[in-house]
Amino acid sequence: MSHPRFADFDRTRRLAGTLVALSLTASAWTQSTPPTAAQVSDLIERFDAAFNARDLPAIDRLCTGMYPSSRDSLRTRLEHAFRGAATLHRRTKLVDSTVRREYRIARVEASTRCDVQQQSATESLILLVAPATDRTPGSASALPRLVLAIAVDAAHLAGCDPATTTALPTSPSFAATCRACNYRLEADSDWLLVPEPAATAGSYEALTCWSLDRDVAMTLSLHLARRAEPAAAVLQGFLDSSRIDGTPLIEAWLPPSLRPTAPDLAAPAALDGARARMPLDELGRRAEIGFLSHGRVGYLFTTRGAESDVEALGPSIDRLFAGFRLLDATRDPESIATAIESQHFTARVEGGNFHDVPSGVRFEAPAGFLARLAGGFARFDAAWCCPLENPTFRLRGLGPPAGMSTWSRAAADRLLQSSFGRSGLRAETTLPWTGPRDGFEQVAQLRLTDAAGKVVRLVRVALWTDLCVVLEADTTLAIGERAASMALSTLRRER
Amino acid sequence: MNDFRLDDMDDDFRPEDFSATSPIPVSSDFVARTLARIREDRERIAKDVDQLEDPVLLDASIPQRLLNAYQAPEPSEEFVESTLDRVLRDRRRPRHRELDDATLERLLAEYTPPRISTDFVERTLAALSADSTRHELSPNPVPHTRRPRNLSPASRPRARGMSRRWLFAAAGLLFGLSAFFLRGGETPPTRAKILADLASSSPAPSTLHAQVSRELRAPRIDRPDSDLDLMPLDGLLVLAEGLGGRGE
Repeated sequence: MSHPRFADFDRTRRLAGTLVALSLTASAWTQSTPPTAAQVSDLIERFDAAFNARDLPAIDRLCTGMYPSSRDSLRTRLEHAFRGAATLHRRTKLVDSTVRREYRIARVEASTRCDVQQQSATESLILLVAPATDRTPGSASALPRLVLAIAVDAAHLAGCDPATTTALPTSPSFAATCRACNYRLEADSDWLLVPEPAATAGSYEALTCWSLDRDVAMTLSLHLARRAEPAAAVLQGFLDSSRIDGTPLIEAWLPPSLRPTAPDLAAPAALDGARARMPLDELGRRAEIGFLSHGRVGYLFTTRGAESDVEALGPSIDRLFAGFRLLDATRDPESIATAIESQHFTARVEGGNFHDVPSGVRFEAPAGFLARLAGGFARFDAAWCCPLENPTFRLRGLGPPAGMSTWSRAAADRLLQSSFGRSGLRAETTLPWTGPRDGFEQVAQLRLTDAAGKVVRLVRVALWTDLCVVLEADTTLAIGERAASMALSTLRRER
Repeated sequence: MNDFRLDDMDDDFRPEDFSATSPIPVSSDFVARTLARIREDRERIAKDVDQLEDPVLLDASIPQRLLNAYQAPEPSEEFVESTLDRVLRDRRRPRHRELDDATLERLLAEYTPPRISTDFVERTLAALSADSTRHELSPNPVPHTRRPRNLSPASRPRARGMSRRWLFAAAGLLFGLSAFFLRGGETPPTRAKILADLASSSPAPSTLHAQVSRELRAPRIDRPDSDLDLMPLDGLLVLAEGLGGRGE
């Protein structure tokens, strides 16, 4: 029994202990600690198990609702995959991870295999994992949950230039630098920078900055034009070609680092910028498109998100744009364009003669057309145009479906049939594959008709292991079907 | 041979022949007549050239001043470098700087090839003759002259130039018409032919609009002349649909 003198002290001590315990409990409820790597491993194991069981509700329970648009895309993709007849087995491996604020950012390799087809698809993904919100053991919410799963291609940006230092999202640095492309983008810890895979980006390169606070993302992509154009004209061209409601106002704009620092100063002469804001859908999503042209080089900034989220993140978005700068704003833009082309183009076109050195693909277009190379997700993309810039011939070499190492005839059939539908064209027959021929494993040629039944296009498709070559000729413009067919027959592969 | 007479021709091209507001009518048999005329003249031109190469005639003295008129200048020391520099600068220069797309498209849409008059061939030949006489060959140029038959030494250089011009003109016409027919002749060699030779390979833009549409999920407005919209395939879905097998 304690001395009476100390009775009050004991009561006070117990009371203080109780208060501290309550305080710690409250802190555990209100302060989130980042998930550990072990917890992330556990999460991806659960995800794989749910995937292999085709249990979509279980996958839903592993995800947060913080990014509704991304979650819906993931769900739609998985629903599509689960509807297929093939039995798939998925296995995901944690490569590395780091902590950013209350999140853990993890890089994983996910491999999905189909034993019947003896094929697999491998994805490199960046996962943003949120901490558990409930510490009660056994509770479903006691586990960390998946916020974002983003396909990533570190090699794409790294391959742009040896001096490129695009930090992986799992590194402490939050910046992307490309000396060939003459830009640097720095983001603070509120943003997650992810380089997009070359197989899906429609530009020379692209990276997306995801907000860690709200469903807002900004994509910076790099483009080359055939000639320098006013930025406002470029934006107007996009608006004219897209089904955007209303008539967005296009205004002059420059990223903060390129704006004149004094009223009497002007931006470098070769720089031109414009911006437009527009609503995207009835759900209140909106987009802001900024375009900065430096000669033929174009930097496209696309910010998208719910109106309320974009408004709430205003200062953070401003800081993100302030982190963009040109490495040398006075550099000759044509030399930048040339550097980008030399890094991205493996094919050479001299008049009508096309040659892609790595693949050995050759094609001889008829004389008299403007030959052009383009960048994008294709390994090579060349067009021969009439003066109105309508391509009469277009030759594209596509890598295998994302994550796969080889093409199949069935996959090529799917690629083409879906493109016919989007273009409003119909094939007269199924692809009549023959081969080996002209250096390819398989070759097919067919005629496409418009809604009126008129033959408007000839298409020749050729497969070689990891390459699908699509050569099309428009027979409605400058060349007839017979001459087009003769030209298409010059497509070959020589090693 | 050489049965046409200059008296039957106009003195020169008529300016209105090349005015967009007064197109020249083209007769339905223009191509056939031109080809026939070229074939008819080839033998005569060849004989003229043979005559010019006659060593007897070549032995005659020709004033050096006249010969110099046809002598190409000696290339300077920096000729190669300056030419290369000019070519590179020209390639870097954006084409059609003065014309935006809309203007070019409008001009081409409004452009109607002029119709060629029935006497176009005769007047063209006459103009060639007149042009040759304007060349600095003689101290007293002759306004119009018949094609030289019996060539005097003094008139030989002029005649040689004139005949070669005829030969080049005929060859050019023959080449153009042959190329037109060899290409199938479904469409006139206008848009694809006339301007295409002006440009060599040049890089093209990446698919900016497609990129924006994809990012915003904003559908594009398809045009009937659009290329096939090839979209990358998702390997996961290819596997799920059983499309990945290579045992076909």
